[in-house]
Amino acid sequence: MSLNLLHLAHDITNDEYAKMILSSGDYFPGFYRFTMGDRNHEDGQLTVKGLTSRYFEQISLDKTYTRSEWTAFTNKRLAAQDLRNEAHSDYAIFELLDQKYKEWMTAPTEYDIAVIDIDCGVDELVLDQTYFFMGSLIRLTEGKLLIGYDYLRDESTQEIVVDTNQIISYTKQIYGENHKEFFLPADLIASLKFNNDSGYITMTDDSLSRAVISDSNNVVIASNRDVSKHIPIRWAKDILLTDIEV
Amino acid sequence: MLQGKDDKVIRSNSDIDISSTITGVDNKGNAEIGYAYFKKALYPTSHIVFYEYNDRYYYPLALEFRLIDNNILYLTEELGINSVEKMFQMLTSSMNKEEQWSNEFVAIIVHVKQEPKYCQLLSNDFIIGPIGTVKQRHVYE
Repeated sequence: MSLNLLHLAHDITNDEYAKMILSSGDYFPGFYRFTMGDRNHEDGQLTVKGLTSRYFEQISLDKTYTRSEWTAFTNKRLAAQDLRNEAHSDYAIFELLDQKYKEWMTAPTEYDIAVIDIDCGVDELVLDQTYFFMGSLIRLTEGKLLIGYDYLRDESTQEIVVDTNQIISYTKQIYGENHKEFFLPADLIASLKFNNDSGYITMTDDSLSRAVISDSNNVVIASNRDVSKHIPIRWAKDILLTDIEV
Repeated sequence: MLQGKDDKVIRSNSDIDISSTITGVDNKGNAEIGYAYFKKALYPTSHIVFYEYNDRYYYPLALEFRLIDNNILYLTEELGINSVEKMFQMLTSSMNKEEQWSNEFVAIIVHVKQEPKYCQLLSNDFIIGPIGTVKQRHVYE
């Protein structure tokens, strides 16, 4: 069974490319990615309520919070992982990975923030609805499959011209009764940008509405915008910001 | 033609327990794909494909989605790992620790005459590494 790499480089059609991406759903998504089952809300991680409360505080009271406050939850989790990583088979390599991993998690100038409705997977894709799929946010609009969709800014990393009805039928065909496990309603709803150690939240009226109508069982995760805004899979490994207590 | 008629890179039916990786590549650029239930997906060798065009390296986005044994752009773009040598050390170490797997990685560099489609252009300083250190094969268009 083979795949021609020259065809992949030059002659792959939009339809083939879209179907290859949509074929990637499985229960073992690969290293450095989370499976769906791992995405449970952890006590203390940022919530929709926490995010919107801090946003309203910011716009009505000019109140902002520092990087150390926003990253307290992640730093607490990282401290617990340090002990585990010391037992790694090749500690020097893991030390390097750890160092880069910590910077990636805690040092960006700007985070993007997404909400995933983890209990609301769908049996069929619908137009103009974003889904978390294998670490990417994808969306069908009339005649296009959008990869790496950003609801806050209404942009995507890729637009593929497709027959959307055919794509809808295709995902139903290949995922069958498991379809809902792979396509979870989700959206990029906010960004958090630091300036002189103060974190400023950006939301729009639409993204605020999207956040508020999220299903009650959701998770809020972040992505390091500085280094990932241009790549399609940027939500595969979560950054969990803090539900700041006031 | 992208794939052989019996291949599953583009799925035709529901086989979501099946994961895939590239287990070999011939001189014409035909990549052999191994499929297995994900808990048994132990292959002695995994091949990671890079395209080279005009002295720059590219990583195919379709493979970033479709293969199981990597999340290459997380390493290159997000963590800034710009050497295949370091990347393979990390992947090997992670596989050994997390999955108790022991296999080796081989870089396949496909040298193409036109800029490849649907690829991520890797950073200017991205390097494959010396043959003695990084197992690699080269395919020329």
